[in-house]
Amino acid sequence: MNGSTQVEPNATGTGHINSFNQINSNNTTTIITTHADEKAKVLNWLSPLQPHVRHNDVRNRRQDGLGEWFLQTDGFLRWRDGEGESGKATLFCSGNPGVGKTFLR
Amino acid sequence: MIDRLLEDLGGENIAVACVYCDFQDHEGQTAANMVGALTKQVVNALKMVPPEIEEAFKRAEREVGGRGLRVPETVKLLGSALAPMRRTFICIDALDECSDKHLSQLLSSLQTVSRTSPGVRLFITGRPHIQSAVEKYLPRSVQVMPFSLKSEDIREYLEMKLKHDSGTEEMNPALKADIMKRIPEKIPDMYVMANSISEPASNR
Repeated sequence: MNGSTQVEPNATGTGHINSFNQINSNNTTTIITTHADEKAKVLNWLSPLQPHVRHNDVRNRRQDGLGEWFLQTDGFLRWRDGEGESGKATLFCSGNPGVGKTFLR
Repeated sequence: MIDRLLEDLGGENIAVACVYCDFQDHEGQTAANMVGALTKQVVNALKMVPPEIEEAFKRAEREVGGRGLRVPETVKLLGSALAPMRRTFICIDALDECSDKHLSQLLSSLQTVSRTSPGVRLFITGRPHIQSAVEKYLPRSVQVMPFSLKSEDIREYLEMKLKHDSGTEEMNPALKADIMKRIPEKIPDMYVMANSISEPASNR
């Protein structure tokens, strides 16, 4: 992609895709970093792990309706709908590998 | 399940955050990184980065060489991210795959979080043997539900797979019927588990 229509070459040549060095009317260079860019930096700092990558992988391989009965059990619904102190806050779903716990939809 | 929670309950001030434990990534999956990954997802659901997290980030940036986050700090930051949320569902998948070294730290972090943030509901999956560790750190708040596939699930899954295979030479209706009959028969323990699911309400 050629970004030249959005990003003007700047005096120092250090601009990158998410931060725009703009020359204002007083001819001083102001660095405007987009809000999204700043947030991305904070998020990266919080953890290098990327659970959404795995999540998308699971989503693509998942069969809809698999384990539907589990999501309809009283135990699950009580856990889901319990507020604050009411009910048990932790649900431990136990099972051996390969029974499809990860693929619950 | 994550998508389902969001579909069913999605709305303002509700977040879902998950971590998938993987024994192939013990180096990356430290307790600090895992708690950080949860924080990351909650922050992402917020309109703006909470000021406490912004400040901690700026402080860390100023330090020469940049120091990684330690567990108590990440737990505190997770608390700040959770504060504006009415409800947050935290899902930890395959907890038994977490290394021993980080398991206790992760569980004690979750213990702190569930104590200090009442809007949090925890969903943990894992092999049965990890249950005692979960109960040790989260006493009185754990409900255990065995999970297994039901016969319908197995049949449905097989049908999906066979549909993709139907173009191949070896596949024919007779073989398909045979597979559909034999495979569910081979996994009887799954039926047993599925039928023993209902947990009496009196256990609460």
